[in-house]
Amino acid sequence: MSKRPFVPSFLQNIDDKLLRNKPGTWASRAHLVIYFAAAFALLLFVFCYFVFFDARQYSSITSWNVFIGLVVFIGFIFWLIFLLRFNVFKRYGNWSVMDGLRDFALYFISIAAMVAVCFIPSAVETMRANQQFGNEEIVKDINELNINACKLEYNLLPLEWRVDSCKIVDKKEMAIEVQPPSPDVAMEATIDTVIVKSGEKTEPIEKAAYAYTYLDTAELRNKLESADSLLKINDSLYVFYECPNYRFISSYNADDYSAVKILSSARIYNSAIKNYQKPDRTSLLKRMQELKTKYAVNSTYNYADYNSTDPNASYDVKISRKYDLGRISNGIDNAVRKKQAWINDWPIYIRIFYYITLLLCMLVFIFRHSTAKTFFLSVLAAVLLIIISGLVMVVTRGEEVSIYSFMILYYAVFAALALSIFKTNIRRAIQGIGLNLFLFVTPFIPLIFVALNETKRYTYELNNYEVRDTEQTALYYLIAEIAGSLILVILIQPLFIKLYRKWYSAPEE
Amino acid sequence: MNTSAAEISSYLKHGDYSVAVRRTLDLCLDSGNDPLIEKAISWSRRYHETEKADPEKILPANFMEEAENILQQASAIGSGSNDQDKQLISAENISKKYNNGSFSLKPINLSVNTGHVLGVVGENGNGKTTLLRCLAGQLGLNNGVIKYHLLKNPDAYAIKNHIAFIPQRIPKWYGMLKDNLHFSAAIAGISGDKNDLMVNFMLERLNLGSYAQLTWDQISSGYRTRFEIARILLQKPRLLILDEPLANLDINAQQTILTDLIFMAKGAHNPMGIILSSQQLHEVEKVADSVIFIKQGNCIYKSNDDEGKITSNAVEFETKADRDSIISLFGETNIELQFNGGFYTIISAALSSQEIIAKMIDAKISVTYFRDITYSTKRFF
Repeated sequence: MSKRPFVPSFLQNIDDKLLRNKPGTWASRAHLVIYFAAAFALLLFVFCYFVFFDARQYSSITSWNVFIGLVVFIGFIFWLIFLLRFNVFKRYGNWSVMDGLRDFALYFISIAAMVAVCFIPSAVETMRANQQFGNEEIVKDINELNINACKLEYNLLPLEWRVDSCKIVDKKEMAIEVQPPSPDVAMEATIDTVIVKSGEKTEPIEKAAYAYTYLDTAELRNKLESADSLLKINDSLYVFYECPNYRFISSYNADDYSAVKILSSARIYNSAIKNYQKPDRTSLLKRMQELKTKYAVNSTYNYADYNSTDPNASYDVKISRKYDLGRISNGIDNAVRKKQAWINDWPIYIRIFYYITLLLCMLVFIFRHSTAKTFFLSVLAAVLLIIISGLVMVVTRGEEVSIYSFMILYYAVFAALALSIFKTNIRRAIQGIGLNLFLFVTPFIPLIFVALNETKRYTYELNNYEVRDTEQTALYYLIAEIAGSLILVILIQPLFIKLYRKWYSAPEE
Repeated sequence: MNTSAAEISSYLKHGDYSVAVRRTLDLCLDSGNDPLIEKAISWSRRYHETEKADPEKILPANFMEEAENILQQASAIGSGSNDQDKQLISAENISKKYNNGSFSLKPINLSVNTGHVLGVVGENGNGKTTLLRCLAGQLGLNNGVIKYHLLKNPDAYAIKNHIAFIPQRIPKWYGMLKDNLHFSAAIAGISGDKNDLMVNFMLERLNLGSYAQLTWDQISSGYRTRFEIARILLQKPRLLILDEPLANLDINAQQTILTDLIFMAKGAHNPMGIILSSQQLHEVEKVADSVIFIKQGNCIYKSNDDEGKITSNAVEFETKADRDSIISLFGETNIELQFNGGFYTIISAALSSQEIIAKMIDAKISVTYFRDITYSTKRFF
């Protein structure tokens, strides 16, 4: 028996047993692919574990993905070359009822093992970031940084809250057009629409109609949620107070998965500024230095403000510069992004993983059941159809509906060509091409139909001012995705394998 | 048709060890007794190792005793069920025309039974390969019907599972040669220990054991043909179609392979029919049960069926005598003399082959080669 390099004896024994007892499984080389993929994944895991030791640094995961993707692609090609060698189907060996489905499953598992390797760096990066920083730890540190900065730089901080008076109206029925204020008035009005000055005279609120911010009830609801403080004059007149910004570090989404939340400027004001007491500067400065060491990255984004030495710069720029908060913020942002990469993006990752695996699996399956000539002609036919359809769309200014209609039409043609194999006793290339493309498009057909339907609905809703239910639409797409794959799996044995068996073994013309 | 234990004993007695070993292996295979087959393999392996190592061909120790023991056991067990002479395939008026119109195969009828060998001969480009590919289900027919009598309502896959076709240019094998043999046996349903046994048997039977660990690129074209035959035989086809199998073999190997194939085809283990094409007319005619000759797509001669139509005798010979002396010996009216640059051919309705050679010996004409081709397809070339 041939001894393969880097193959341990237990796997060699499995290989020998499969060769003698399960030639179909042996020919797929799934056992070798899974072993090598697992071994490579383990090595990569260990390597990445040590490389990604610092979650504060900028993520180089894209480069990693490209590099690992290339390595895996080379492995995939190597596997394909092995697949050329032994093929039970093309040798007309004994072929049992479920062999086609078994082959598809083996190809899927093998490719999934290879594709999964590409996700190792990203997963390790997230794992390491979570090991390095806890969710609540980061939030607490952010709050501490902001409060300490306020305490240390109290003299620099603006203490006046911004005031805005808002009038609640029904905008649909508001017939009068509000004239914009004159330029000099407008400048004052941006400070507060209540205290409106026109020359030396202060006008009462009712007369300064142009100075209100007009809100409808929906806008009011949003504004109420984000207001730091407010005063309700009556049911249609509110005065909103907005605290100056004391959040020098406010990492986006950092407190999404933490019980402790990032303090708003108003809360920081209440806890550190409202009843200001002179702090112990030495201990605060020491703590700020510790947090800087903990989070600051070596390089920063090239923010003009941050690097500026302008003495007239705003208070927040001055404070950020003094305590290196920009670099700290970058470090926290990087860590948070890495920590949450899989939490936020898992549906995307799953889809990328699944569709790459499915597409490659179908290509391998077709390659293993079709002739080399017909396989490449099928690829060529698909490319040509895309080009021709694109040209037709451009020339006729077709819309999205036309694209889906084209796809459905092509699918019907492929299906007709493929099913005609049952009626002929000669192997024709055109039927083989039709069969290959019929199989390839099948898992996407429910998606195409849903997309067509949703496009039509969208146009209808747009014309009738109806609100689109995006969750419902997402659910339809998800059902279509699952249904497509199920249809493919269900049809493989009773339809596709029968068609391939009849077509491939038929005499040539 | 099996070589009996008595015949094998006779081979051994007279020192024909090589043929005795091969026939003993066949006999053990036909017995269907795995321990006996294993014993015979081990016995044969020791013989081949000794033969290879010692040019004097001194037999391994206890060789004859073991041989007798194996033969006794094989005789006691006997052979399994014999499926001989069942109709395998029949073709009725099959014809084929290529789309580009370059060539057409005219309607042909033929039939092959298990254990039957059909030779297909003819010059290059006259339709032999086309006929074989039609019979193997590789080319669609324009007219006619091919019936595979042992299959019930077969689809094309079942037909190709039933038939093995070895083309003239054998596709390259990948990986180790032995792995390929294991794979072929496994896809034919031979699994586990039986798989090992059959692969070892086939390697030993075709004397390929010392090449089993090599790859395709490491063996000669002759050995490639042998390995391909071994691979195909492991798949246990009921009909074996070979296109020019002798082309890459030396003269000894041609004889050995042909006789081995015939013995295996007629054995009880997997009785099968054989259709083979070749330019080696004498070798093919020697082993084939019937021969058809194809010229420009027409079947112009079928042995057995057409022998009655032959009214003249034909011989070919090689001599240094000139044409005039030969004609003067036989008389111009009694014979038709042809010379192709190498051999003379005499066609005569009046004289038999024996009379022709007798006359030449009497006239002291030196003859270095002589063959009676009255019923050979050679006379059509």
